[in-house]
Amino acid sequence: MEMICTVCPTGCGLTIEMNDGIPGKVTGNLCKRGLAYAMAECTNPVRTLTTTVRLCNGGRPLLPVRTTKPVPRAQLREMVDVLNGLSVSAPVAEGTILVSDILGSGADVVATRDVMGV
Amino acid sequence: MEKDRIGNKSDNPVASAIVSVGSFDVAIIGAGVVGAMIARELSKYRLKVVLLDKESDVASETSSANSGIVHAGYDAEPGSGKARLNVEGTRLMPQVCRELDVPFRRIGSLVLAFDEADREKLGQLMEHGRLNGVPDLRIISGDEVRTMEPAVSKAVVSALHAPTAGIVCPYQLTVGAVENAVENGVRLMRSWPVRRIHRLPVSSGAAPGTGSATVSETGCISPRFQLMSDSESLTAHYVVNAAGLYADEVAALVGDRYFRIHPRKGEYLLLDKQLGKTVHTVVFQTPGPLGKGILVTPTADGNLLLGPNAMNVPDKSDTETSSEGLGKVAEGALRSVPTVDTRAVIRSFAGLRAAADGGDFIIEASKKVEGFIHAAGIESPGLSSAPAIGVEVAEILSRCGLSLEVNPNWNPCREPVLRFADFNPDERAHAIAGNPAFGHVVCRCETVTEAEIVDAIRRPAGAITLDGVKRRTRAGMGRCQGGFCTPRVVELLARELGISPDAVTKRGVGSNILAGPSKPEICPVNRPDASLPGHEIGRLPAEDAAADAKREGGNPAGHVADSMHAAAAPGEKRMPPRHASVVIIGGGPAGLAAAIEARKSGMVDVVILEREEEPGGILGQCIHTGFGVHLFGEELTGPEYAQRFIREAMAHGVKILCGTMVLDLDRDRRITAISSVYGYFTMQADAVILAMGCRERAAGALSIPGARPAGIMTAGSAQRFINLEGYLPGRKVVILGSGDIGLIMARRLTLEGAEVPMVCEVLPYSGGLTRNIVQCLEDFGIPLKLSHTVIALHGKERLTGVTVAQVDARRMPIPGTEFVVPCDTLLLSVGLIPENELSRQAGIPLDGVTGGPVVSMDMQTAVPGIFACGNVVHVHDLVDHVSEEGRLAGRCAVQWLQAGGVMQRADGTDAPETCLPVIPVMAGSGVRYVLPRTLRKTGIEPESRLLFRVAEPARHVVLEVRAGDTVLASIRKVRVAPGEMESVRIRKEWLDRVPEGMAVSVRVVPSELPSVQEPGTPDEKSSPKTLSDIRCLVLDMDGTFYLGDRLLETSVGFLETLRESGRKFLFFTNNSSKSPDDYLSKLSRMGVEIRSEEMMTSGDVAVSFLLRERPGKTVFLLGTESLKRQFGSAGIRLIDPASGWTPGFGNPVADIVMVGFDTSLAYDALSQACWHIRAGAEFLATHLDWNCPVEGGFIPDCGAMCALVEASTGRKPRFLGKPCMETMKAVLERTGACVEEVAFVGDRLYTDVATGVGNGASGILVLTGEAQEADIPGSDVKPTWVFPSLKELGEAMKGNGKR
Repeated sequence: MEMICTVCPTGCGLTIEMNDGIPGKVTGNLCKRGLAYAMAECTNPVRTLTTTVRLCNGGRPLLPVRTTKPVPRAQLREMVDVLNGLSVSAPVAEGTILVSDILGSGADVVATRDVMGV
Repeated sequence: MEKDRIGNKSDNPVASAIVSVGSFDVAIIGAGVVGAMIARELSKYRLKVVLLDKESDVASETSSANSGIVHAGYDAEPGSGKARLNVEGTRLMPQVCRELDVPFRRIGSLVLAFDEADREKLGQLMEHGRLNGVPDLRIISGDEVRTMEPAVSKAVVSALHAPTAGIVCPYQLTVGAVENAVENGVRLMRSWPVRRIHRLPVSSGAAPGTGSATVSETGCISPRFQLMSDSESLTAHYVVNAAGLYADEVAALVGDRYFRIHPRKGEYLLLDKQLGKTVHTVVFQTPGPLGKGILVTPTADGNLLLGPNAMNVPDKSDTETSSEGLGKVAEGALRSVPTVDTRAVIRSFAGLRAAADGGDFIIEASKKVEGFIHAAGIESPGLSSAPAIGVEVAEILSRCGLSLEVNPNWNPCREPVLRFADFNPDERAHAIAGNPAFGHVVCRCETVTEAEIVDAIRRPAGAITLDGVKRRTRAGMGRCQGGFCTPRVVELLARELGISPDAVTKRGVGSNILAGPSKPEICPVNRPDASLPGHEIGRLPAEDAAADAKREGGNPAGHVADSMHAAAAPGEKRMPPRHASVVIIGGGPAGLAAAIEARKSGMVDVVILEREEEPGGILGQCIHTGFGVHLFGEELTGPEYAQRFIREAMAHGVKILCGTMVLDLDRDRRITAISSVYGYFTMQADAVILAMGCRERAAGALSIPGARPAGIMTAGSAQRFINLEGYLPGRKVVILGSGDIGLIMARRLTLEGAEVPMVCEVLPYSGGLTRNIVQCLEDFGIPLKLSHTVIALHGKERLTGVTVAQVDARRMPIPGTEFVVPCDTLLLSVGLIPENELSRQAGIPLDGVTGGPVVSMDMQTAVPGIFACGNVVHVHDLVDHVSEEGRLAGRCAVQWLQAGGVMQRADGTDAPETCLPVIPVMAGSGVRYVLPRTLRKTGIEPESRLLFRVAEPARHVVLEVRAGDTVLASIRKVRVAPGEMESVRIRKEWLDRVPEGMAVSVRVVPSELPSVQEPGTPDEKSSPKTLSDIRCLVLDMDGTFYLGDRLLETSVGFLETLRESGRKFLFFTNNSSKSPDDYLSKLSRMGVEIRSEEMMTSGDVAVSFLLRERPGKTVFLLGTESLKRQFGSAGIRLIDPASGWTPGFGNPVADIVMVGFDTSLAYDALSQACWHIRAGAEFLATHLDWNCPVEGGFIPDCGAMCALVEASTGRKPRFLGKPCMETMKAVLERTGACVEEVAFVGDRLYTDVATGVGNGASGILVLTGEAQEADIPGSDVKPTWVFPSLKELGEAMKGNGKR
């Protein structure tokens, strides 16, 4: 399996030997972080999700949100669907937990800005 | 509302489903400028008139896209209708425009003659003009033309001057006439296509043509016509057919088929207002068989317009542009005005002329159908004639029996239009005081306020579409072409029309701007009318203590927002600040950081002027992560990053005036601004920091050929719609450009449920971060098509697809690779442009490469006391760097103030810093630009960095900072790319090593090459200890081996000695005017025989460089025939100088311009070389020598020719010959030697010796030529060895050479 490491701008081209779906030797990385990246990408790639939720009484229709830590890539769409059904009322502060442990990922969804009520 | 019913429904089978909307004396079909002028004319009389148009707005077809010229009237055939109506219309035009409050400028016109044949035609035109009654015509000489219009071509021999010609905005004239007509009682019905016209049975009492049918007030006479749209009908006694392109089809509805309309397309290029004063009159060419030729004219709004060409097309809705057509337009314009810079194009468009058979206007009553009047075939000079056509049609109607009874209440003047941009300061202040919405600028490029847009919507016949707003107010018509204001105008249209934003259209049904809400049940936020109040956040210094106390006990979540809203209640008037120590223009990341730092550095009153309603800049809509990795060591979202700085600014007592737009800045740091809270105000700043950021490159600048449907917007506008407004711009979105914004939007759109079929990138590499390519494209299976671009747009109302094609190395589409991608939206992520309109106003010099102000190390512009930071200086890729640059600017501005900057200025002397010697900074090979442009040895701050971008992606390179041959700093990089800014910290240690008068340069060097030296390493270290290490000598010729045509005595036997010692050698000369064979013959004549591979010129270096590093590239060569042969036989693709060439579109652009020692230099070739460089070609030169020594003196050499090109283009060449590294590479390539084995031998320190020691090899000086022993101590270049002549060198090499 081949991939480009995205840990830093160097962008090493990584080659991972796969044995029955299990990652083995990694080559092409210039540093150790590339190894960890390759392992994660082969087993359970994770991403930080950022999106918006509906906002009421805030003078703006949307509130930007994020997950507090990276979540499984495979769950991103499902999480967006969950969050598209959510509605939050102002005032709300940056960091306020809006959904705890979203879809059992262990990550919370928090507001990424303050919005005062109007 | 009239609910008149048609007498006999059975006549009309469709009528049952159709609603009748009234009965009229006259129905005018077509609300272009002709229909509008007829309507206005008829509104003078007591008549019931209806004006119908099939489009959603008036002036939607021909009247929206033409030259806007009011012709003097000499063109038309004497005696024709065109001639009569043109002269009369032009006479009426000034008064009509005054009454309608439409800008009209009588600027006169010139018809240029380029030769005798043209001159003859001028005489004919003059005679026509005399017969047509055109006043004040005059034929003037070429010199007189150029006195009048200095930009006009030198080739012009004569011209016809017509002072009565003028310019007017065609759609504003139409809108004005329609509004005035409506104000006087005419009914306007838009989106009312006339599908059928029934001729109604004439009642017994009304003998047709007797006039009795016109007594509508009595209502006793039945009308002649029933007109039907898809859902409505109306009746009329008279019908005027002013249907433009469709006039023949309308005539056919009543069976009148005696003329046909032939659409004839004309394409135009509209240029930035900066070029609006290129010419001051309408500049025509002598008309040829194909029309009036390409004109160059200022527009009524101050732009420059080029066009039109003329092409008959079959389709009446075909307003697609083509690259060939636009190329012809540019070419034609350049013939008249050779200096027009076609890169300043902000929009290309096409219009259709409604030409009829016979060539004259058809303005007459139908011979076949009673009461049906044609005003058809109105091509040029239709706009000029329109006021006269109105009068003429009224007379025809009268002759046909319509009684024209004067309307005593007729008001010739329409309600004046308030144009904020045209107001003087008092008017501005007054306007905002009366209506705060004048304090809210919606379109920055054209300074259009919310009040004007609202007025344009609310007026009679007001705007109901985005295009409608644009034509009435110019919002979206400036250089950014709506990139910024589109979302705001959509919002205003939705609010004023009471519709949801996704119902707003570009130009009527089907052309919606947005696809729909991005989430279920988005509740639109009703923003208050008459603009939002400008908020002031932060406190005055005196308020600090109280505020601090409040904050400590206050709401930790909302204190930022809290003080923002608490500061000013809506409508509350406050006193604007009159003075501040530091004023920062722009409250984005750069401005916030600068303000915080200025406060921290001890300035009391620091004010940020921010045009948005809250600070933070674009970060508010960048909801993704990736911000702050460098500054905070964590990945923040845009809003999180912004809020950290906003909180810090508040904590430090920075005063932020939001909703405040700076309109003007001058060199004395006087700022004029407006806000809905403070009104119009002027303030004095001791120091100014520019932090206006950048804007997106717009679609107009790309000139993608094809239609202009809705569904094309910048990635940033789309981001705003999705992340702030909750609307999706489309369902199926192609993204052009793979910069980070484009990539991020691909992910965002996908997550919000849209489909992204592909991202196209014209370059062979992406400008975005690898991480974004992986996480935004690969994660979602979105293909990235490198070396592909969009070459055509499809769709009439809304985009239906784009044609994509692969491009070659010159970015030209490769025929046969085109394919169509169905989509409803095209997002453009094609670059960012620093926003420097204010900098220009202040007279701040800008850098041609970055587009931002030229700044010194302390971020000071060339105007003392005005600093700049962030994306206004150059576009950064990381916000962390923007913030750092802001801090630097903030601190340096304060230091400047504390050093007495203001006082110094007051007594007229320079600020102290500017007296210090500065070190220029230059971009070396492989580097696109470096900032700052100058360095000083003092005042180095922790943030002081050289920031630069490489010219192209590369792996395994070293980034070198050099002063001459001294490497000051070098950084090894595994990978570099133009999209990722590089930075080197500026250190005093290495600045101190820069000799006086020497520049610092930054360059990219392949890291395999041995020239890399650690900073501070003495040059000697890499030099070999003894001559025995030298295996290959590179010999200079003149002054070293021979003098002129005479072999030096000391050279005899030298080559034999070398050969015997087993060493290789190579003769090298920088002179690229002769071929290696020429030198072989010369040496042969002196009795010296060498092999051809032992001879090398800078031409060989160039060939080797091109083959190795620029394979396949096309080269435009300024060189002698022998150099051309040398290039040609190496297989290099040369672009020959074209004969009869004119600059402009359509010419193939060379990848590279190579300047050699061209002793056959011709002006034509020189100007073509400059053109290619301006068009983007890389600028290379064989060698840098300024002069070539010849018997009896010097002749100008390659370096001098390059200086000429540089003076014209502003671009510096990359040199290849001695002493440049490329020469070393070529020598190594040719000889197979390694660098430590090579010595350059010669009589000059700065070329021969420097090539060796400067590139990791050795340098041997012989004293037979230019340099003397006494020169060595004073020289920066130290030879490895010095010998009196080759003879002694040969002696020294004997015996120790064999290993």
